Amino acid sequence: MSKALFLKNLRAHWKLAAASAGVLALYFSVILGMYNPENPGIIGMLASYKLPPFLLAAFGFDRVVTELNGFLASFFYGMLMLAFPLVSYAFLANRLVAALVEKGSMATVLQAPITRVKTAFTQGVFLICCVAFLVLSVTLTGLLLAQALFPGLLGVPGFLRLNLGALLLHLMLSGLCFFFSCLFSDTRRSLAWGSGLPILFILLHMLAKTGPGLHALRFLTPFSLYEAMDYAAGKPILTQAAAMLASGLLLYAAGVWVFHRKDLPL
Amino acid sequence: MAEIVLDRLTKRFGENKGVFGLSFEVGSGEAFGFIGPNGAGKTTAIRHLMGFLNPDAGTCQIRGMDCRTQAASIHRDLGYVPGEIGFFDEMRGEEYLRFCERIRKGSFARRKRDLLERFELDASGRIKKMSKGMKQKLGLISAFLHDPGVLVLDEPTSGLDPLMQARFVELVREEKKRGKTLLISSHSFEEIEKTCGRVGILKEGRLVAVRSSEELDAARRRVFSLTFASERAAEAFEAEGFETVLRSGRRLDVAVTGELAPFLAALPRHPVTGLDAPRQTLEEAFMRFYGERANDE
Repeated sequence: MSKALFLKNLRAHWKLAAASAGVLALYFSVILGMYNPENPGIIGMLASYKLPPFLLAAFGFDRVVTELNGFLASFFYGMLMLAFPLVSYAFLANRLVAALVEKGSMATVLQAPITRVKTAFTQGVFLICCVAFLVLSVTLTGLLLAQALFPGLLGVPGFLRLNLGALLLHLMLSGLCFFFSCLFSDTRRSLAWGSGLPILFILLHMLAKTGPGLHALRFLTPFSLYEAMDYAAGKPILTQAAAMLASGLLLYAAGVWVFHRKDLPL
Repeated sequence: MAEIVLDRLTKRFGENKGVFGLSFEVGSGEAFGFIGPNGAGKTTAIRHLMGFLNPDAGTCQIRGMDCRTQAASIHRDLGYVPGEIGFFDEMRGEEYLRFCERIRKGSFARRKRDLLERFELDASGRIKKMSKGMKQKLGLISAFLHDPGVLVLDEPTSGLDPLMQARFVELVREEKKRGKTLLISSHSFEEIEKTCGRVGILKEGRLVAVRSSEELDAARRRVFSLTFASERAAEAFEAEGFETVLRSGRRLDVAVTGELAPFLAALPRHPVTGLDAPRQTLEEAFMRFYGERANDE
């Protein structure tokens, strides 16, 4: 790994990472504030808006959950925690490789005595660090806020499992973004594939939840590896977690490999 | 000993684009010029030397190391100026140079100061706000910063004013004297002739000739634009037998290849009221190599 390149990334992108973590913490606190242990009547509240039931289902707002972990799994980890980090690291992944190649500044790095493998590896490690930072900041925010607002109600092991699952999911999806950023030498295609494919997955994931007719769609998206309720409830998740970890690492490795092999217009 | 060796290097980007069977050598301590119009394949060849492209066939080596597979080792002692330099948007000029030092794990404070002074560059501002000339200077400084033994420069003086071009020529001459090996590409011969001993002429991805710059200068075809007192006088000059490029009214453009003496001797015999030497393209100056059936070697 190149320390100089890693630090340069940090200087260029720490603001984006910090802002994303901040917004995520804000969302979390808003959702948490809606929880009422005596009357988990949020379903009733949403129903009063006369929203069609399939729409509620698409966002995962259809389950009657009473305890805090289930509530968070359904209302925060069911959609917001999937979509929001994705947007910020899809953008970041594109900036870390494809944008530097397109602009030509990658030449500054590669004309130094640094191999392409080392260069791409450094960028990959940086992206993973950012993803881990986002999930970790949510985890800590959650632990602190829940303790402050609803002391004793949060099941800590379940909550940690929930976040570990989210981390692995985002490792896998950011791997996809990273791979396309390494594969393409222009930001147009890197962004189109790197963010387009995950967004398509999210849409399929939402569609699959709207009713039994479309339920089979869930097998087309990697989001089915992360059923937040299962992680929160302590159901066996080892296989899914291992699958996400393995495909994540594989995608990162594939990104480094294509970057090593490709023609660079520098 | 040959420092840079290209051996039948081939890279196809579709019909007639790329480089085809390109072979040449650059010796240690030599400055080799590489001229050709835009699209002739200069940048493609240079990208292979930097290890950025995978050849379809053939090889290129620097100091006996393969440019593609041993790029990192080669780059330890190599400086590069890309044809289009890309910087990091968010940086200031100074930060960029510091980054170049850090990524090479070195500190070149004295050399940096000398180069900044030589090119009269104030590197404290944001790169985004710099003019094209300033960016070019910054790119040049970063290539020479670590005092490398081999320099690969793709159109190094583009965007520089004449004074800075002269400074660059001076720098290249000094480096050559210190035993550095240089490969410099350009689309104008004037840029190359002051610095390079040998020049390769590239046409449509193929090397059509390698000559000393003296030989090339002698083979150069110069066009002069003359204006006469009358149309009659222009016609009379045409009868002197020089190659006419264009005649319109009192104006006559003639081309002279090699020796200028006969042309200069003819001038006082006619009522010449104006003499101009318009800027020429490479193809015009070296029609011999760029003509349709150019097969010089």
